[in-house]
Amino acid sequence: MTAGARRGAGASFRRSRTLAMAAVLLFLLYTLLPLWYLLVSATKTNQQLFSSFGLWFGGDLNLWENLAALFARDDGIFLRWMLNSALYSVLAGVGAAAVATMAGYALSKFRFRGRDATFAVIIGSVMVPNTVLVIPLFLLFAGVGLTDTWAAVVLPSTVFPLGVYLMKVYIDGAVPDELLDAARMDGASEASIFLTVVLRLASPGIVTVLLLGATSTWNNYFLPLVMLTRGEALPVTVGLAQWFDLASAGSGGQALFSIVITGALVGVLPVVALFLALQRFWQGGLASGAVK
Amino acid sequence: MTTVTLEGVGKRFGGLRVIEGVDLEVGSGEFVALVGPSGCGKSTLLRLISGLDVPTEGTIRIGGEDVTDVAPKDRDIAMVFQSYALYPHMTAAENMGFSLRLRRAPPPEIGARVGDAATILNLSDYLERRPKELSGGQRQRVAMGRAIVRDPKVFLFDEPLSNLDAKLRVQMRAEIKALHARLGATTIYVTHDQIEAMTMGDRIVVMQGGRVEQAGAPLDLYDAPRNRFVAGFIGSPAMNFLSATVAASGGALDVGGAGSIPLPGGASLAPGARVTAGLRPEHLLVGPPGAGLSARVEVVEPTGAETHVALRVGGAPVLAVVRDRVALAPGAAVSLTAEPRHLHVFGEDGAALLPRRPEAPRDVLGAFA
Repeated sequence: MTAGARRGAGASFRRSRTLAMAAVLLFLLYTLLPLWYLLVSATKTNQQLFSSFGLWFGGDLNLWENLAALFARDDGIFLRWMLNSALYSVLAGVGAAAVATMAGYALSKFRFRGRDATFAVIIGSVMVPNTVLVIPLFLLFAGVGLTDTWAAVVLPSTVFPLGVYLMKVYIDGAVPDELLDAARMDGASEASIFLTVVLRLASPGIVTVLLLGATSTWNNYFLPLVMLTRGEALPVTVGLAQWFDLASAGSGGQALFSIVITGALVGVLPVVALFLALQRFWQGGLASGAVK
Repeated sequence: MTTVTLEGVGKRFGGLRVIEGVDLEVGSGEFVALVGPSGCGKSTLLRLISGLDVPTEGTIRIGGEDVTDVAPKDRDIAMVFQSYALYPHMTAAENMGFSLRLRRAPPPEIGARVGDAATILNLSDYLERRPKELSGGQRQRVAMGRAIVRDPKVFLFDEPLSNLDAKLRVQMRAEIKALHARLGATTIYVTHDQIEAMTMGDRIVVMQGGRVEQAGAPLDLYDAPRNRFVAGFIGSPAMNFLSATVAASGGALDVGGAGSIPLPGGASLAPGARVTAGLRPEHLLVGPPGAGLSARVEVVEPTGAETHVALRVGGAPVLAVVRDRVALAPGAAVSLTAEPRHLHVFGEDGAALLPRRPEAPRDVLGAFA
């Protein structure tokens, strides 16, 4: 290669790298802009929300006043909604991780008739939108009298086909067959192999599925909307939506917009904190499952 | 004392038959090496003995007791795996004591037995380390320690040295042999490395295509292979094979236009029969053109103690191992000869045609008496 050709190749590489960086920055902006809008809006009064530029602060910082109003509204029911969301998310996340780990382990390490067909059905069900299932689920739960209880939100959320797929792929790579054979030779029962060996080796994958399950339940709106009617059983998504409807209806609730938007900010904080705290597991879990 | 007996053992995976009617008796305290190329079924046979797989036919007995359908944990055997298969989240001591913990042995007993095994294996300083903090050789020793602490009736080894470098492999080979001498337990050792099998086994079982081709003492297999496969598999470098015809006189083999090789006295082969002559590289003598087989030198590889000479006899490649340093250049014309007693002859079906007896070892100590 001549010096001129090398210079040409270097310039082309720099150009494509600059373009890639620009694209990444664009996506970053696209992702962070709503969060920024939320943060800025939560510091505004109801009036400033409609009179000031949406992506910048509106003069006085009104965040503390908004927070105080948020937690005082309707006898402090917002805190109850947050606790409900946390409870539903933790139970659904743990349940989904448990079911997905057991199912993924079985699909990964045991040979049984219909295994491939079962896995194909699970992969296929990832494509089915959860919304489609909500009405049949409501009828099912209504039939056994479980609507308006925590179980109506938690039980359907523990069925998590994407989690099963992730755990199967993760266990394929992270748990060598020889290790299971060694445990069998050591005298371990299948249950103790699962509890003492598989759970430990698959823990990054389990944390990943737990986080995915918990966040999808935290963000879920339609299922609790259909299943729950009691105000004190609602999660934060449905509760805030009800306040928003109230504000939009204009029934003397104009001041609610600033409270709703502050509630939305407080509502996303636990998820952001969870992601940041467990980022190491997220990346480790997803990457090793994918490449091994 | 524990024997391992296989009677007509077979294994199929769907329509694929991977083990076919294997009969084998491993004596109490014996060290038997199962050897063969990749895919010959040796590891599958070991898994059947361990109970990790169940045979489709036949019976497996350990210590005379039928264990064909008994779970691995109830066979009182221990196995060392190729990949060590150590639990990565446990320390070396926890790995070694795991089986005892599962059996609810009292902690002082677990500690004592792990300590004893660690002393035997020179692992005492590494007991609190996790596998990732150990070298390959140390991991292998922990894997052996895990087997030892159980004091099993039978030890199974599945290519335990394959992941080690050449130097460590030689060292661990000696350690395993010494361990066997010390413990005296019945041992079945799978390897694809025939040198490993030759140096370690009291007896070698050569397998191919799921069948046992020949079983016997290492030097018996080297001196008197039953067929061409065993002849080619045992010995390093491998035996040379040349297509030949039994001469009209019946006393020699004609190797195409390259010359002839005299048959040993007492050999009775039908004149004109097409056969394969087998000659080990270390039995070939390289000399000036003349008697024997005409050959042309292709490559000369001095290794220090000996010289490997790659040649062509007619169109066939032949390797000769010469014990001293030789002045040969590629392209040189030479002759190859061998003592008739070193000649192997195989029929068209691969079976050995000459009756051969293992050679008696030289009495080195007697020579000085």
